[in-house]
Amino acid sequence: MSILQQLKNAVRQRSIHVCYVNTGSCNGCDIEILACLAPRYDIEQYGIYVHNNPREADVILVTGGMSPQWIDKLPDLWDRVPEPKAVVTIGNCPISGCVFNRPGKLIDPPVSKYIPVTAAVPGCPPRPSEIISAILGAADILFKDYEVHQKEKEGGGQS
Amino acid sequence: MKKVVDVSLPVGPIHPCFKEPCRIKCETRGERVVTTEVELGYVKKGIEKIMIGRPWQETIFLAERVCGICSVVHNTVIVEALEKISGITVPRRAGLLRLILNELDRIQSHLLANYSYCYTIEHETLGMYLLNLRETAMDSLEMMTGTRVMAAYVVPGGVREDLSADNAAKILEATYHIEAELKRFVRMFETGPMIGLRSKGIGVLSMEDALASGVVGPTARAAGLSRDARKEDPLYLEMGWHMITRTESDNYARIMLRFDELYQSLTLIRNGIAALEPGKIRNGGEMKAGRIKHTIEAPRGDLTYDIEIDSAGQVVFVSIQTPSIPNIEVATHAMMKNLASAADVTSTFISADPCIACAER
Amino acid sequence: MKLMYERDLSPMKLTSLNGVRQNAAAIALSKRLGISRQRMRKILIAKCDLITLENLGSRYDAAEIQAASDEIGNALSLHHLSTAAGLLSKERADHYRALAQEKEADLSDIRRAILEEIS
Repeated sequence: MSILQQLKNAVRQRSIHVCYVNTGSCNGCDIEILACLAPRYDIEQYGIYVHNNPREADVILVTGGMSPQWIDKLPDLWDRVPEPKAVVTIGNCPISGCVFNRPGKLIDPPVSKYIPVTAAVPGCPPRPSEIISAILGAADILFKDYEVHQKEKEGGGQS
Repeated sequence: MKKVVDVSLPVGPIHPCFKEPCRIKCETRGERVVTTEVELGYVKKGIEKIMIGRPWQETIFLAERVCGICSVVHNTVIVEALEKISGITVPRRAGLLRLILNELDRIQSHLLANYSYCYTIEHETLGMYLLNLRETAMDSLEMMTGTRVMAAYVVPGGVREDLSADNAAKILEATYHIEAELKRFVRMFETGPMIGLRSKGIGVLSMEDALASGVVGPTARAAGLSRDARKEDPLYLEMGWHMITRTESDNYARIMLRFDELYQSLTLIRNGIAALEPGKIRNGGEMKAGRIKHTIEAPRGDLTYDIEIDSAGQVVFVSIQTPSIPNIEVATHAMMKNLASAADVTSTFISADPCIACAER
Repeated sequence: MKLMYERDLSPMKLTSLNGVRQNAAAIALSKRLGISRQRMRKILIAKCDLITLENLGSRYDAAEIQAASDEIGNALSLHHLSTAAGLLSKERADHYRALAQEKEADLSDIRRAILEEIS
């Protein structure tokens, strides 16, 4: 592994920028994400920064079960996120729609129909510690040696 | 939207300094914001439609999920409405436990609202202090109900779990801790020149607009209107509740009013715990058919459930009037009219404590 | 040009108007103006933003209180149109009020003029 790659790994491990998207949740998961910012859990000590700007994000946190307004906007937003990128869904709603997936609903779960989902944290809502561990776990697997994996993939495609 | 000027500035739903899932469209002339409009629909779930035709047991859990921040109060209001329909009485101990839980919920909601405001005016230090203090309130909530959010603690006839003397003492201790810390933070907010500059005289709500839009909760009380559903609750009056109002009606007044209410909630919790006597926590009863309109005071204002159930126990009609609807409306059309700077748009909006999930259901 | 940020909100507005309180207020407004419910909805969807439609119920109640002590305003539904729905600006409402007070005017003529202006 080149020194450059090692440097990239080290930097990426301590600098994960997060953007969260509320696609029709009840705010329960959103306040648990906000609670992660509190000095009690202190998400920034792990190098995770909540900026809410998709253009500089590495990880998108999706809460909620896809309301009609988001159906065309979420894939668009996903395109704007620079590589390497990942989606972590928070709560039951993005997986199944939770209690809202009933006759008469307006939402259209799961979120994975619209954008590729890397990890999902179930719970209604999950605890802040679970959210932090999910972001850290997903980021470790995804961003480590990203360029090497990317090259291998391309090489595999050509041969 | 009628185009009166050429620059229309959209804020949200994904925006670095605005966390709510809605879009504020501002018509600006130079730096001045002329009119604003809110585009909703990002979190519309149609909960009222889902509730119709379902047994009442399920609607309790659905009602909780109208809003994650004030889930306790949604739970309380639907259960109290169902109890009123069927004539089920609640033991005194359970009533007091409900009061304690609702006030704890109000504490965490008001702290979150003030945190959001401080965060939006980019005074992150005070914001983080408040958010850390909120964790103390969340711990008390967790001790009482078993979970942080969505506890389903209030059940028809009473409450789900009893509060042990140990836990009551811990909650009491937490209230003293919150009060001691809060005094510091309120002084910071009151005397901080940078905070006062960004808050005083901004987003003023005139009495005429307040009356015309049916505004409720802290936003109405900061404008000098005595609107609070707690004034008709005998238990609250017994515990020493009184109306708090302010007259300035700007961003500063709304945040300070919430701080004042926090002190009151702490006193109410203490009085509630002192009045606890050993006894039953749940009465039995039988569900009957009927229709009722029930209002209680949520952290954000009057929350009304208009619900009808039939003899089979199914919900045939439900209408939820959440406090966020008039508050967001008045924030958009009255407070944000003619703002001096586009930088005040988000802070003025947040000072009304908007909850988009509540407003859209 | 593909409009990314502006999209047709009519379906969403209709969903909002279908809410219990909002629907009741829209029906009451249409009865006041003497037009069909569908036409009232069309006007509201075209002229109002989403949050006004959501808050139509409480605004309508506030307008009823104002109109109770104002005979001309009540007869022409001025409060309901300007305060509640925001279809009529304050100045235009005052203009119509002045018209009604001025001469022994036929109120139905003014009503027709108001309806034309808002639709």
